[in-house]
Amino acid sequence: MQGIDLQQKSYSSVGEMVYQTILPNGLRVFLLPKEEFNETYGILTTRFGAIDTQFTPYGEQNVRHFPAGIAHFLEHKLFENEYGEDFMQHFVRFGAESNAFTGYTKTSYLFSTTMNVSQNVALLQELVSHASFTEESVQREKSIIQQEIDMYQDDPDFRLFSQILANLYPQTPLAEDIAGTRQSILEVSKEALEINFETFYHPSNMSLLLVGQFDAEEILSEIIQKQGQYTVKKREGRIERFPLTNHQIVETGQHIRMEVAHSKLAIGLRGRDNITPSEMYRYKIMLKLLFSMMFGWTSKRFQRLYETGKIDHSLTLEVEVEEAFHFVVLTMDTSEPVSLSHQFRSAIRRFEKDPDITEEHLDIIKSELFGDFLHGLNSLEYIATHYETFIEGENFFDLPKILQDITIVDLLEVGHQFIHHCEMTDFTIFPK
Amino acid sequence: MEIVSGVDLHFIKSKKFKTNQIKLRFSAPMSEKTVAGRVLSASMLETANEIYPTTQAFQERLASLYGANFSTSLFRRGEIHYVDLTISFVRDSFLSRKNTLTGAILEFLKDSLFHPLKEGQGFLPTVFEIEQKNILNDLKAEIENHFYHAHQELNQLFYAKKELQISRFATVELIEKETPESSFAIFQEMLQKDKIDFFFLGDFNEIEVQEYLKTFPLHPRKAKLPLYYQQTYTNVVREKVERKEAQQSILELAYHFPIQYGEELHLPLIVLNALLGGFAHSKLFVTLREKEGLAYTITSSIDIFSGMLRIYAGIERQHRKKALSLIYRQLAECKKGLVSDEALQQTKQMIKNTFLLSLDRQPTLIERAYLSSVLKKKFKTEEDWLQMIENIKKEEIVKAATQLQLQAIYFMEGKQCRE
Repeated sequence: MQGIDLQQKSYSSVGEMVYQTILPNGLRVFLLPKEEFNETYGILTTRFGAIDTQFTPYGEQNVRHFPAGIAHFLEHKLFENEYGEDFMQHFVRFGAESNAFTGYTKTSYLFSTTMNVSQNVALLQELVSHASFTEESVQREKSIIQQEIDMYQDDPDFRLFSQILANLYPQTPLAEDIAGTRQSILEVSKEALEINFETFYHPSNMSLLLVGQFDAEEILSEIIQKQGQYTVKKREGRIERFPLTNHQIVETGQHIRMEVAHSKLAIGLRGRDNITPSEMYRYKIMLKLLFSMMFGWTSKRFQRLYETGKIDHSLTLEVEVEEAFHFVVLTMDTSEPVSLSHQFRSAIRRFEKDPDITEEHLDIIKSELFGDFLHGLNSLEYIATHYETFIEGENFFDLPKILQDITIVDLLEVGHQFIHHCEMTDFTIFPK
Repeated sequence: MEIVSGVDLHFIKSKKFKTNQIKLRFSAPMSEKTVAGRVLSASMLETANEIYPTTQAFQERLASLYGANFSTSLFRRGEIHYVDLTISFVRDSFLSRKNTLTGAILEFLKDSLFHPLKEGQGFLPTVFEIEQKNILNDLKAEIENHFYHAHQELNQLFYAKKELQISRFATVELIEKETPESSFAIFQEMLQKDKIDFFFLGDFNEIEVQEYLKTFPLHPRKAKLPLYYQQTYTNVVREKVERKEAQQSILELAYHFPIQYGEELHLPLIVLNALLGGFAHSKLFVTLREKEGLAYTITSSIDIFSGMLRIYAGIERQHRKKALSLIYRQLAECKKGLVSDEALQQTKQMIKNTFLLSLDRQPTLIERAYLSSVLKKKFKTEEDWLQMIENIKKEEIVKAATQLQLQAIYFMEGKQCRE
């Protein structure tokens, strides 16, 4: 098809199929047709997130610094077209719901629909193709974003997570809310937004993934045609981003008080491992398996703490493995945050002797993770938001194979690399 | 399909999903006397049973059944209180070895119902006490979720009848009063007297399932279920203002309507709600969020089984009056028919889209099977429902709008100095 090579990857054991290609302008395209669903879910992602506040703008020579929250601000503003109209309303016209979210390393725009797929796919591309907003509309957006920040600030679980990150990565963008602060967003200007747009919203820095009810070949030729309408210069090389600096972590014992029924404890581990991009997905799975074995609800440790009422089902495990950073965070509601933090941290240091790390327990955890994975595949949104479009090598659908491969020896080795080089801290929210 | 009188079996065939789902629904009238016992029973059921007597053993068993999920949930509809028990598990075709999971899952379900974790005539006290404490913590943690709290407060203001004021999760006082014996007795009552519905969604051998369910010791029962609740409008608007430590303030309004499920104005009411606050193009969203920048969250919803339309917004406290008058104006415009044809057409399209999307989700398919069984002829097929929405005229929406009368206002005033 017009010299475009559509690669086909089949994952027959889980009944999934992915068509993928890279267009001449650099846009990465992923198509996952699903006949039996009414829905089509589209997601367009740029590699630009909350951590990208220091970089060399396109066409310039020197690194520049931008206010915290600018990626999220730009996400809000791109929903406005050159006539000051809201793109969300255009999606409504084609019977689609649309939304966007900004993460630490990426910003995504999405729609979900059961009709007019072609028009909605075109609209999604249109949305990120140019930035057009007025100084006045930038000013007005500030009050809406401030309310969004306030809303998150009232959520104790959100506060807990952002504070543990702030303690792990002080004086970096990870220490700030993704949306920025009430102060930082006041500094956002029209010009700054335009520079960020110019640098990061180039097709070679973006991906488009569609999953649902459509014909792959037809939709691809429409995408090619649409992309052809934009005159963008081909770009070589990567955007020069200022790396995160690992400053001294904030020591344990930090806390705040909020209106909560129970204390909330977060334990964070900042990794300092060298992980090649092609290993990232497997590395993440291995950390998940390791920490689930030690702290999950099939562990002896969890059972003991649960029976004595020290912990409840609120325990969560978050593992992030990105090029710029990797961390593990455990959060929980507990009546004894101080002693639990101590217990957990020393258990992590001594993981090699942990009684919950056994062959049998690993099999159980693997089986559980496999089930969770297949449950996830029922939802197109889940697939669209979990399929990594910027990594080479193993991906989301390889999970069953990865689970089969991994042995307890592999896990201990990764545990050794990660835990022995990591730095740990904690953060607590006490009731008022 | 009936197993015994009052115990129904529903099969919904589908190969669309990678997992099967079994749901067991207990239905009984909402009552202050039983709600706490039901909440605690649900919690005990999803924690352990006599065969797998600890959380660890219970979860290990589920994990080894290829990560099966076993959970309970609580709902209120009209004056009915539901306790749902849901199990989902991987379809056999995705398992590497030749396996039939359904048999093992049904056995697990049977054990959970008929071999609960008990001692004498009550639930096992050590585990019961932990669950009781956890539920109390969750209820106390309500203060952390401001919107949930505000919803509860508005319900208290709006509903005249006690049964509708109580949360589906009961209250701190009611949970505290329960003992292992009292809750166990309520669980036995659920098994003996509640209306029970079994749903099997996915790929099942119907005859085998039916035969197996016949081995469950379930006896005939007659349950009367008050699905529709309707109260009369009273002339005084009930108001409450509360101060809380929060950055954001919450404004909630409750409107009364006398329209019931399946009546002429039911579908026009659905369209009205969608026009007003159901979507991103709705009047409330466009005006309060996009034009005025007053609220990040602003939405409306209807409960057709209890005659309430709820509008709620997260705002800054000094904007209360302005937000109120803008909300009033949007509704007034609907009452006057100030709705463009384009807006109406878009709204219908979005309702259609939301409806079709929901058919891709397992819970919707089960809920449709349930509603069809209790509402009988009032429940419309997919095609009929979509056609009826398409046919709705502006005059009918105006008619539905004029039925709305403001009955209650709740305001949570956030008071916190900014850091």
